[in-house]
Amino acid sequence: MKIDLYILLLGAAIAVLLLILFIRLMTGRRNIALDRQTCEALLAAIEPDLILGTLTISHDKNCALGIAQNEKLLLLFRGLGNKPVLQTITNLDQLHIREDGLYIDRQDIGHPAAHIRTSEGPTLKYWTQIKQKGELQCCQIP
Amino acid sequence: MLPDPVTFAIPIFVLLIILETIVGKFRPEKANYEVRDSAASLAMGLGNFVIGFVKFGIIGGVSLWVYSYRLFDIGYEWYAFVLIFFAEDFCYYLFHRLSHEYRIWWAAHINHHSSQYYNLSTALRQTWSGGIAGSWTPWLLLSLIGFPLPLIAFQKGISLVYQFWIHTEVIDRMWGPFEFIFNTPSHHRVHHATNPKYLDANYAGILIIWDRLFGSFVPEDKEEPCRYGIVKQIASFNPLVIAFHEWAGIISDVRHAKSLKAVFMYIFGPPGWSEDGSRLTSRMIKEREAKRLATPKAGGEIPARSG
Repeated sequence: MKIDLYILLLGAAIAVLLLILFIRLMTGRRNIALDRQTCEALLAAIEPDLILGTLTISHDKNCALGIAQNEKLLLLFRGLGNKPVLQTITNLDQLHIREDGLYIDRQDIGHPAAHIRTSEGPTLKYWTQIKQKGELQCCQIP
Repeated sequence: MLPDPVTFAIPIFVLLIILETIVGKFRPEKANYEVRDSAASLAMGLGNFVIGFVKFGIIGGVSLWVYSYRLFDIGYEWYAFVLIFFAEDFCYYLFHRLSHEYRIWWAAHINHHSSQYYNLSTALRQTWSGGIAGSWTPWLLLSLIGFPLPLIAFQKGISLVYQFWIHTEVIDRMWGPFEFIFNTPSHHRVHHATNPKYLDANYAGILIIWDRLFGSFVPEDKEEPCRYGIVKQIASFNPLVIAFHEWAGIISDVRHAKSLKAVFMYIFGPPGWSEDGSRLTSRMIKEREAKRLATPKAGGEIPARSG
């Protein structure tokens, strides 16, 4: 049986769309809610030598920014579906502090910019101090 | 004319994904589906299917040219089907191993590993750039030996269909002798894992014996659950990003390279290689892990494994 190419491709595209719809109906959107425990578990799995110090989690719990206690590194945690993703950032210039939270610049095409939404005064003040000092050091958020 | 096994298998692929999704609804620990992840995988599969029509004409032409210099006339005798089964599977092992060990081929293959999920839809997360990268060249060996192109295409289809069902967590370990000879869900879970002890292992297509022969076999360890994805995990479900992020990485690295040697290594070196040593190759990750495990914690206690 010979099937015309355009029918084959159109059929495949329709099948894919129907399958996506079915998976959507069965599973819904699954988003992880980041918390300290999740971030620590991911760090222990990927970078077991690093210890998580300060951590600021965004209001929607989909993004978090931390500092490694024993290395001068920023640790950016994101939710991707119901899985967490970790990025390590060495350059403080990529961190920006605004009234509505912390911004991290886009790293490359696979790691878009991140916005950690937080309006807590002490938290923003802490990150502003870090930024002003130009040095990553871990301490308690007042 | 031999049939195309993949075209016949597509309805079965769809049915099995539907079944696995239903299993995941009630047993999410066995089949974790996320709609954006699956949509990305299916879009990659569709893109690969479309590109395949263009690619086949070019690769077919090259294969026929090589076939004109063939060493033997194998034809379509019964034994040709037995020989091609082993020969094609060996070519797959070669292609797959090189695709993990050299960045230019890794750039074309990384998309298949980019999902943090491991389910049947992940099997369809196929390359869009393998044709350009030239990762089809190992199969030219078969044309040179004297296997006709339709026979090679047929066996490649059989291999692709076989490799679909092993992308699942629903099936645990299988019957011992089967696990010894064939690639199984357990072996392939290891291949997709980023845990240091599982990196660069189990490259098999159908027969796991190649990994056992060439020292790349690692069994699944229940004490260390597989963590799927890639070492530097991307944070995107966008198929274009999935398909091309490593190529963009190569271009960026080459632009910033300080020497010709570095340019060469960024293209043909192992994935993770960097001029200043700030990134880690699989070998370096394994060595770091071995060192970490060998260093006793304070009090003489051996630290627990990651994972």
